[in-house]
Parts: sequence; C-alpha cells; structure tokens
Amino acid sequence: MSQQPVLEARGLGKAWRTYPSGWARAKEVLSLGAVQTHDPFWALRNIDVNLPPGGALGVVGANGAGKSTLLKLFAGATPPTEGALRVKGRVAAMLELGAGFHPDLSGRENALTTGVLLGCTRQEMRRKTEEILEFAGVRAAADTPLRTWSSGMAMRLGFATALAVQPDLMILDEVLAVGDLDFQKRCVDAVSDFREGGGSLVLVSHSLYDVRQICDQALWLEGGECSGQGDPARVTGLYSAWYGDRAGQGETVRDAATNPGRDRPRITQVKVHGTRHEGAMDTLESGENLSLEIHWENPKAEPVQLGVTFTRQDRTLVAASGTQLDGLIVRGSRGVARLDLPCFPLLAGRFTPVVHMLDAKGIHRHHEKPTERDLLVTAGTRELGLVRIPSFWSFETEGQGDAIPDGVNQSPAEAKV
Amino acid sequence: MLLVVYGFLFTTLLSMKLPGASDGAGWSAYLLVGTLAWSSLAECATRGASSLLEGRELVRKLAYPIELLPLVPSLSSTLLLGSGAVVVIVLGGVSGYLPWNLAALALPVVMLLHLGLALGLAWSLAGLNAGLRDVGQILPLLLTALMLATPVFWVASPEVIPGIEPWLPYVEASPFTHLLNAWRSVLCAGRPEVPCPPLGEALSSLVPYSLGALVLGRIVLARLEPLILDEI
Repeated sequence: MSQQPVLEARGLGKAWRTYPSGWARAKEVLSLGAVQTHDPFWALRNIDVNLPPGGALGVVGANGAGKSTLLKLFAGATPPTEGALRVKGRVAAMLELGAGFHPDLSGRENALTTGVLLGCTRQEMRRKTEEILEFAGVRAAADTPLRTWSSGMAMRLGFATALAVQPDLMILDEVLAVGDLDFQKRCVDAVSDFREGGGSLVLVSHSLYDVRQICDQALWLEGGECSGQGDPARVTGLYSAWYGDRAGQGETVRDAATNPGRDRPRITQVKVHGTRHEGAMDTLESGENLSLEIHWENPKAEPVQLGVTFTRQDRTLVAASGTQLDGLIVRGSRGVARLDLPCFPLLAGRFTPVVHMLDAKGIHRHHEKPTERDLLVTAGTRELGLVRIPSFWSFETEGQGDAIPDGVNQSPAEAKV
Repeated sequence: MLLVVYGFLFTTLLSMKLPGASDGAGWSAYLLVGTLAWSSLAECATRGASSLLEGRELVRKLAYPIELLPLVPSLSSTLLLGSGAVVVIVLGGVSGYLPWNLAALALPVVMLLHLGLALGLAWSLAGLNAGLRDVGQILPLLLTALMLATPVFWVASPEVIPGIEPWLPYVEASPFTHLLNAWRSVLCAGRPEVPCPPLGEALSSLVPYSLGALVLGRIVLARLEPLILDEI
C-alpha cells in the first residue's frame, strides 16, 4: 500500500458569501462575478490535515465550529477559498444520510442509482443490492417507493449503500447516531471492518466515545480554527474540558465561595503541588500525584474541620475529602495542612478545587477558598467517565475462549491500568 | 389541441392566409411548426432555469458536476420535439397537407442545432437562477414577451404585415427567428407558399447562434460556478 496520504490539506480555508443587500447579490450574479459585492464569512481557516491510507480522522467541535464546512470541502461539494486540498481515490460522503435518494424510486432502485453515482458499475451494484437491503434491514419494503418509507429506513439504506461501494475514503457526518441501538452497533462494526480492510475515514461526531474508539487522530475545531489536533484521547479530553468550562459560564463555584467574618477561622493561602502552570489553569495528567498545602488561621483556636472539594464547571461536585470524613479534627490558632492525593483518579476535565473550613460539627462554613487557578486534568488514555475506578479482570471461559492481551487495540496507557 | 384552436382562430376567425395560397393549409403548417419549436424551447428554458435548484441535493451532497444538470431538460425537450417532428412529417405526408420533401432528411441537423441553442440557454438560465432566484420568477413573463416578439404567430414580411420594415433588422438579429426558420425549412418544404429561407441558408445561418449560445452558456456557468457551489 502506498503511503501517499488519502487526504491532504494545507492551510485550508473556506469563506462563505454574505451579501449586504439583495441588490448587491443581483449585481454580483448579473455581472457574472465581475463585480464582487459579497463579504467573506470565514467558516474555516488554516486547517492542516494529513490522513494516511487506513487512517481515521475524528472531527469534534461545538455547533457552528466549521465541522460540516470541512466535510463539504473534503467531499468536493464546495471548493476551498484558500489553501490546498488533495483527495485520492473514490470518496463516499454521507454529509446527510439518504442524500441523492429519489422519493419516487424504490429502495432497490435508489441503492442502485446511488451506488452508480458513487462510481460503481451497474453490474457491481446489482450484485450488491441484496447485501445492502439485508444490512439495512429493509428487504420487506425494497420494492416500494422511498416516499412511503420511514426516515429511519431511508437513513439505514443510505448508510448501507455507502458502505457497499467500498470507497477509499468515507466521510460520515453525524451518521453513526441513526437507527436503533442494534443498527448503530452494526454500523460501528461495519466501520471497523471497513477500516480493517484498509479504508480511510473522516468522521464528525458529537459522541466523543466514538471518536476515541474509532479514530486514530482527532481535530477539534472552534470558530473555524483548529483548537487541538492529534491523539484522539488527548484532543477529546481537551475538548470536553473546554466544553464543560463553557457550559458552566455564569455563576461559578468560585464566585459562590464565602468570605470569613472578622476574627473568624480563615484559610489564608492554598498552594497546589504536582501540577504544571499552563495559561489560566494548573494542569495535571490523570493518575499523577497532586497535593494541596493549606495555610490557615484560627484566632480563637476553636476546633474546626478542613475539607477540599473538586467541582466541575457545571457545578457537579465530583469528589471531596474532609478531616471529618476521616475522623479528624483540627485544633490550634494557625497552621499548615497538607492533603496528598496520590494517583489522582479524576479523568479529563476542568475542575475547581475549593478548600472549606467548617465548624467542629461540619455544619457551619467558616470560610471557603478556591485555589488560585482551576485544575485542568488531561487524560492520555481512552478511559471514559469522570473518574478512574480501580479494576481487575479475571475470566473463567469454556471451550476455546480465553482473554489474552489483544496487542492491537491495547494502547500502552491501557496496559498501565 | 392547442393547434386546432390556433388553426381555427387564425384561419377561420381572422381569415389569415399566406400570400399566394388558396387555402389555410400553409398557414396552419407555418403555425404548427412554429409553435412546436417555440414551446419546446420555452419548456427547456423554464426547466433548465430550475434544473440546478431541483438537483441541488446531488450537487451539494454528491458533488455532482453542475453542467450536467441543465443537459437533462435540453436533451429531453429536443428529443421530444424531434419525435413531434417525425409525427408531423408522417401524418402531413399521409394526409397530403404537408407533402413529403427531401428537406425532411435534414431533421437530425436541425435537431442538433436546436439542442445547441437550448443547452446554451439552459446553462445560462440555470446559472443565473441558482445565483439569483428572481431570474426564475420573471422568466415566464420574459418568455411570453419573446414569443410575441418572435415570428411564431406572424410572418416577418411586408406582404403580410405592412409597415414592418423598420423592425425587420431586429427580427433578423434574433436567434429565435433563425431557429424557427430552420425548423420551417426542414418541415414545411412540401408547401412552397410557407415563407422561409432555402434549407441550406436557414441551417447555416442558425449555426453561429447555436454555437454562440453554447459558448455563452458555458462561460456564464463557469463564471458563476464558485458562487453557485457556495450558495446552492
């Protein structure tokens, strides 16, 4: 197999046209473009992609980030405004399932014509039609016009057809989420088979799980620009951290922290150890050691409790540690407490650590002080969820079955756990 | 059906006759061929103008080449017109209203020239309409005006319409005049009273218009293609 990339983009950019008025548009059209009256709206800029044969690129990003524009460029449905784009081989783009289907033709005829439009020969498609109908689970309705079908059936047929034409590059926009759970599973299996057969894939999905599981590189778009690119686990981790951050805009845990009264017990300083200072955040790789150094004062030397909470930006309390929970109590007029959190178990996300000082019973909150910067946890693994749970597998299998290291899907990070 | 109405209207009610003809048969043939060719071209223009918008799913999602979409109405309308012409030739000959003539053998040539004009027109209109929807809105009005301005229902000759002389250069410059002339030369050669140029002259004068329309349509579509691909 040649190692020439299936898809190569350099400095790719796309500007859509916006017109200040109807007259401006009329001028541009009727002058056949000699008079350019439109204002460019940059949907995408400075995108570099290199997808080798058999590779899979996952594109993530919020709505309006430019994902669909990027796929349109890849599919050749619209020319780039700047930059260079090279696509090699047969491309099957499903920017929307059931694209190009005609409502008056039957399912069988639609599968045939779409396959031919995607570059298969008629004989090839005739052979494959049964297979397509079988995969889509629409055999019973195969000869009725498509307009009598449900939308789900049409989408399944579209997916099955695109798979059957065996393209060199398949472009899927948010299509793994169609159909019922059973069909979704078959889709994911079929996409895996397709990749094992050497096919390349570009996938847009809001399911970060799919991107992590299926793709071997990821691209995070934000406002038309690349915000992160590379290893899917890292990029999706960054994206979900950023997204959680954005979702939680408004009142944050930070703002809600209380101030101490005069002469009341207070936290004077919180130092974070074990992290790297990056931008406005302290970053930490999941599984590394974290410790907090808490300086406190207590003029009246009344017994108090200390606690630390980790709150996600959407105000979900994710984890907490407290002296009271461990059966301790803090006495004295001033001091330094150190909280060690070995093998920090939280997975990718942005968290606000808040130190709490409470009365002896843990009811009244004397003072709450967040750390100076939020904590950004990155996870280089494919693990899912908020926390890493300690886990061990053991098997009792019958017959030929056995669970041995796969060696294919296992990344070094997974082996570590 | 429409032709029966036209025939009745023009020959009986308005008692129009071609110069040098004893009955209305020549006039009917003149009208018949004119309306056939014109309505085919007008249909092609209308369908061609909307062809890109109707096929936008193909363009948007399958990156279908846009120049192929206007080809569909152009080819279908031309082939339909061609088969209509065959019916006219056969029935005209059998009934004796339109005696057979060797000129009918030039049917493929006139069809090819017609296709060129129709496709050029469809390309231009499809491009313009995809960029500016208003084009499709005013097109029916424009086509009606053009039909009346083209010698479909009238003869561009001072013998039939006195005082037409100042307008003749404009009529002569219209590609549609040449198109109808060519069709009449091919189909009405059996009735010498039908006014049309000799076959060779009629066909050759249509060639530059046909080629010109193709070139123009191709240029319009190519110039507008980036805009269309962004906007469709």
